[in-house]
Amino acid sequence: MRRLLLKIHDRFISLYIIIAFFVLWEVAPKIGWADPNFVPPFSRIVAEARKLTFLRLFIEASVSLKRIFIGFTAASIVALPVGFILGGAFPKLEKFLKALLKFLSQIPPFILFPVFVVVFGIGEKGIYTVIFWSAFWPVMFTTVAGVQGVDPLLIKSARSMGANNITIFFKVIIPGALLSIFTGMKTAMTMSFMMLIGAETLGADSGLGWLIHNSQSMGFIPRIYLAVILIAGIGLAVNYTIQWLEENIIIWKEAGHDKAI
Amino acid sequence: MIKQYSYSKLARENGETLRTFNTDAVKNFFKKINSFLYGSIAIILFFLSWEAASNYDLLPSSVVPPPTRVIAALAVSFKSGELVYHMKISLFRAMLGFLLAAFISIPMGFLLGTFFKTFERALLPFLRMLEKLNPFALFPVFMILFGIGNVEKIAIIFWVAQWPLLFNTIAGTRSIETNMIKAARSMGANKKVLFFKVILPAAVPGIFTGVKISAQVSFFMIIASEMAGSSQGLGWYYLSSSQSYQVPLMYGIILFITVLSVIINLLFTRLEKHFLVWKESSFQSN
Repeated sequence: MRRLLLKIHDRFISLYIIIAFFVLWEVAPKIGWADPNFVPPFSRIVAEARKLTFLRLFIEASVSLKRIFIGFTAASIVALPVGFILGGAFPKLEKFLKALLKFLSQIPPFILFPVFVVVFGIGEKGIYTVIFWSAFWPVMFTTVAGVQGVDPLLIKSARSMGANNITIFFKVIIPGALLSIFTGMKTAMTMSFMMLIGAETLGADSGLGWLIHNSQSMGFIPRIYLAVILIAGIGLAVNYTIQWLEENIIIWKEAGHDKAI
Repeated sequence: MIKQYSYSKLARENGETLRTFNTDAVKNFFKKINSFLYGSIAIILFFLSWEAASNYDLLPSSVVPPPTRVIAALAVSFKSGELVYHMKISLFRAMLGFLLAAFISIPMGFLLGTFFKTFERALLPFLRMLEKLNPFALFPVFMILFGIGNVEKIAIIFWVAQWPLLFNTIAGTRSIETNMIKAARSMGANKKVLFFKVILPAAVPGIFTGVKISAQVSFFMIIASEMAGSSQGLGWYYLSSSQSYQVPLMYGIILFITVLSVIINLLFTRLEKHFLVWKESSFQSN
């Protein structure tokens, strides 16, 4: 019994601090450690969430997720072939363009937002482009690195066994590069989620970033905290989903690899 | 550097002069310059084609001005001293926040990574959660807590710069082989000696990886936070130029910020490499 309790204690040791944090948040403004106007107690934030209704929050969140999904998918659709072509088919061109690509990737994505407002006008396009820009580079660079990291011996041996280019691409290069690509996609997802909020605070009429921006300009302080918590929660959920996907696909890959050996 | 070291040693052993070693270094140097020139060809071509495209009306020049006009606008702003003034403010804020983070989180990382392991295990998931908080979402919270101004900007930079430093320091202290610590202890090293002779040297490469990442993040975030709310700094300068439709200047500032971030990136990558090589070569000489 004692051991079981200890085990549970060991399991939840990190949970204590998180609980303590929220308790402190609730108590500190009430007993005067913090100004309740600027740091409202946690219960008031929950009350604010009730007032806004779950549906409203869900709509804002889904608008943001839709934007991220479209931008991220578009970036992947473009970046993956570009990465495969540059890394696999034209390594010399890749070397030639490397400095330029690195230079372009250094442009902070949210800074491009006003440019796209000038070019396309205010609207969804600017936000999509920001997400596209922030997701494109990590995916492309890691695809190139992944393709170039495939063991040439594997390609040669596949070729000597009579595999044509298409078979080599699907059976050797893609499985070999997948791990690296997934790392890039994870980075791209984190980056684009971050940039999404930035872009939405700069100019949008809906979404989580807009919720923050709007409540800031209206002075609804509890709502700001609510939006921060919501964004953190959704960010964590997105992160875990990608991690879960990665783990599942990598397991499949390792199993396939074992079988091949 | 490792190669050079072993090469010179080899040369000495074979009774050769060090001249071969020197030509090797010179060759390396030329190779570097060569690859630098090779890389810049693409960049130059990019700007040339941009210039040509806007001169032949392929791009609407009111929205995408040619690079010559962009550079001219940047030069005017540079001459009036405005650009340098805002750059100084941005860099000052970023540096102060970054240094503050370095002074607090590197020692924290050491403490958590070495002496307070249970505490670290309890705290780490919470810290990871805080790290994942979206900094853009936190801007208003920082504004509420600190008001808009230098303090708020420095606090934001401190917040975003501390995580890479902290986690990389912890990872660095973890990367030490336990055998090394055991060996040092069995030779009678006390905690102080253990720290300065074993833990610190082994953790330094990890720390400098963190330093590099957080320097990049600091610069990036100072621009972002100045765009979110400020009346000074490069980010604000950029936003104000875009709001007053000074389009060439706007592109010029983007170019300027990008070049600055490339410079910061290169500088800190260099620093990181220096310490990485130092670790490897010191291991080799052992």
